[in-house]
Amino acid sequence: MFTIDEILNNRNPFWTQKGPRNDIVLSSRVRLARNTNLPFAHNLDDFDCEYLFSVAENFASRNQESLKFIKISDLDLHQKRLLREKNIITSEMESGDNSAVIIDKDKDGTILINDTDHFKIQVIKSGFQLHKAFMVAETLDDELNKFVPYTFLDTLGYLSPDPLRCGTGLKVSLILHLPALTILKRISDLVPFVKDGGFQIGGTLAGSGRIVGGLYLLSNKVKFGLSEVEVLDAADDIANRIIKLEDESRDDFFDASRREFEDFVWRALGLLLYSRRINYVEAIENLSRVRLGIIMSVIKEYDLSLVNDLMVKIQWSHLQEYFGIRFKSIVDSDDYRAYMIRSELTKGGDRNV
Amino acid sequence: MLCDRCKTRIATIHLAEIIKDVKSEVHLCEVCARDVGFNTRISDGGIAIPDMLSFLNIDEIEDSISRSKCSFCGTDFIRYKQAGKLGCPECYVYLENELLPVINSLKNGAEYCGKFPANVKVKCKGSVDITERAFKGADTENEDSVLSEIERLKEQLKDAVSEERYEDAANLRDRIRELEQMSRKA
Repeated sequence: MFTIDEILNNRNPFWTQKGPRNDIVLSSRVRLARNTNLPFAHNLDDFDCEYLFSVAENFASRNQESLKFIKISDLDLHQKRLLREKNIITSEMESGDNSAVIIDKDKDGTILINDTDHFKIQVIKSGFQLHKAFMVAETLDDELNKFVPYTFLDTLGYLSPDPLRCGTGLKVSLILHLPALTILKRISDLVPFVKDGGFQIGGTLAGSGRIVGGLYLLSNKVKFGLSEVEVLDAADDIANRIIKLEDESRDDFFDASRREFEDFVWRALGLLLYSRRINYVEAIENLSRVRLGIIMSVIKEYDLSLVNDLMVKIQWSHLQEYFGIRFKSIVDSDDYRAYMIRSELTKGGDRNV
Repeated sequence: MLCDRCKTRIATIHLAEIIKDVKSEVHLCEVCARDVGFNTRISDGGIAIPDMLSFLNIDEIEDSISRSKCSFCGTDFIRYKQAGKLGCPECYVYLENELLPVINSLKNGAEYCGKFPANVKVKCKGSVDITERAFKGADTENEDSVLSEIERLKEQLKDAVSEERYEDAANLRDRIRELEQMSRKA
């Protein structure tokens, strides 16, 4: 048995682990959407919703060592937001009250319950490892399926509330760090082949999808008739092409003007080390530059995992958790953010600069 | 009619503008309409344009299609068009005819070729029956051995995943899928 606090204070989350091509791919996520023989999620009344939850809770109770069932309505605002900032639940689940989640500690996966679908199996891995994430998701899928029947037609695949989302129910996405392509204004070069491959690329900022810190979300659009493996292979292919272009752009930026590059990344570090008030976007932008500096071995004083961790921990609820307080205003959080970054960088670095 | 912008969903919002006797028309689905910021309310009337237009739509549709309803949840095609979502899995059976154009635009001539759940629930009148019949008619002994082979491989797959031998696991998975498809087609 483990508690919600253990989940909220996980010391070894995926973003601090090392993964393949971590220099460019922050994380790989796989989601499998599944529905059972009940009215669809948006159309569930309280009785059916309770039934769905009890099925899920039963499933989780069979393996209490690893699985934890949590009703979102049992959490306070702070806990909900923490889960969302950790990408465990979606922002729709954070704001609504009719959903739940099962967390699988051993497999490091989650099952979202009654989000847009009855079940959404989600696995996130550090770095570029979609196939691995998919294998884990599929195991979780099979385990759940032994317990819950899925609605399915051999002509349409897994049924979805939106007929245009029927099929394998597979959604893959990668968070990519593309600072050099962004600075050299080459992002538009990616769009044609991403689109042709049936994928889309956009920003990562929660709610708006705005692009911050050269971070992008690459994900597949539903295309009927492709098998899961074909989608994964297509994602690999497109991501590899983007990785190659970002690698080249990093070298181009570095080779064109080494002084400019060094100034670019060191200046960002200076700002993070000495600012007294910093908002989320400015912090992400500068952490992104420092990250690039570390990868290109210009900044050698810090480890990549420290920056990866900071990128998550500078969010509102994580800051509150860090300091054990509740902010009264945004300015309040900006002051604490600056303080936290400063102390983490001082603590975590070899500062004989 | 498909949406002018995404070309996948059905257009439910239709706008016409006449400037100097030249009429231009736009047909959008709800999602795209929202995307392009089409949520302005009429200032004095207080009616949202999409609301107004969707009422107009209903009148149009009522004449042209039957009002079949899902007997399980009561959803009809108009409700689906407004929400972009069906009420329950049974809707796929009860609204089969009405949904046909939508399904065709999704499938675009392709066949489903992904994973099958362990319990394939027969929900549709059409093609699933054929599979079922084919299944019953197959050589049962051979069928059993294939099924037990699948079970055996699934056990191995579970071990492989728990031991993080992902390459082995991938091979096993492919083999299982092959066998499953074989037994289904048999």
